[in-house]
Amino acid sequence: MKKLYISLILVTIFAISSIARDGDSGVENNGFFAFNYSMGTTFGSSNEFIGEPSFRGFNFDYRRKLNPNVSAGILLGYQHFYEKLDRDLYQAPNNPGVTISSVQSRLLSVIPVTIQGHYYFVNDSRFEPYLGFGIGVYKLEYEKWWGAAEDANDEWKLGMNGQIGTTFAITPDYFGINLGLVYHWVPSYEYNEIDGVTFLNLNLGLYLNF
Amino acid sequence: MKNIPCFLVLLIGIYSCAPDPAQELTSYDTDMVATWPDEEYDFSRDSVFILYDKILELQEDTIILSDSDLDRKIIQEVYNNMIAYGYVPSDSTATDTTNPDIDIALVLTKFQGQNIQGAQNGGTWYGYPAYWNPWYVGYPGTGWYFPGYTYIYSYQTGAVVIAMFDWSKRNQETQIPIWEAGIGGVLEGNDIENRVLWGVDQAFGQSSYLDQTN
Repeated sequence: MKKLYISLILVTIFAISSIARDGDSGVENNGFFAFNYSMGTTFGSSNEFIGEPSFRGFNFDYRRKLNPNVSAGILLGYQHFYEKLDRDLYQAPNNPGVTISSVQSRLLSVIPVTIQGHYYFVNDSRFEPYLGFGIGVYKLEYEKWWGAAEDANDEWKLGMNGQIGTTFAITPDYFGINLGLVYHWVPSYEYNEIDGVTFLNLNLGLYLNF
Repeated sequence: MKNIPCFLVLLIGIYSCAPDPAQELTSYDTDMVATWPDEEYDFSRDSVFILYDKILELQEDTIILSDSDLDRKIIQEVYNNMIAYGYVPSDSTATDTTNPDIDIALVLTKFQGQNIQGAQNGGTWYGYPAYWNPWYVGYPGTGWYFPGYTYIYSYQTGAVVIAMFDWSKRNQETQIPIWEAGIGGVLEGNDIENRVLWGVDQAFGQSSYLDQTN
């Protein structure tokens, strides 16, 4: 797995470094910046922790086209999951002999900071469907409140994401709408009931070409 | 580019919508009750109990015996629950440490405000008795000690602790409670009396193994 990570990072760094080399891409506006509102839903053990979908999220999506079909860039985001569980009896996680009656508030904030690459199936069209891949670091903020007492854990972990979506140009080559799905995977985060964070974002935003 | 300020406003708006449980929860929501039995102990064998008539209050630099109206109601609620579970009250006074007929002793302690900071367990805060570190607490006036509790509490809401001890071990230097209940969050906010008395009932209610009437 480490070799895969390293290879992907190297490939992406190579792609991004080529951006700096300047304007031989053959694309008139090769800069792309989107601000997306994002909704999220968890999977696997993350879903056992918080099953409620999140409507609190956003991300910045920067890309630069290397040629008409390929871009490289950076994704910076924030997604906040929250669920309040009604009062119930729980067993303390580290001591099953302890019974706790409480309301539980569960929070998970995820901040992905990834480099990314995209492939566009068509170009010179109002719609430009794409596939993407990102890899980088994720800041994970876990909180479980037993009433007013907090069990918290913050960590940075390596993670990756896969993307599928499309852009729709409102003003060709300048301004439009971005719609996409991003599946995030942070396999190495483990805390209490969470064994790897996985969640899906639905992104809807506006982009500028420049 | 004119849209960038709008993006930033939206961003700040979304971020600020992130809920803070400390602000979102009602006083009732913040209350918790944790109970912790000594799983080796046979609760069916004891029946005569002694209940101290004051509450030990841990303050920042000192320990006092608290005897407010609310304290008396809390003690009465504990007493009522013990009777309901079939235990028999001793007619001994709290300072009579020689009475051989007593089986168990109950001691109540309370913490208020942020004076008890507690300890941190491996980078993780837990607010409940399961995570207490042993710490010897003197019970003024009795001449002997009730060890076994340092309260770990990360929030400024106060707590009441009910600790039950095996009377036959009263002369041992170290004692661990045979049953403990931590009622957290109940000494601040609205409707304190009802909440703390509910907490006492909840502590016994979720500890049916104490019931000797079955």
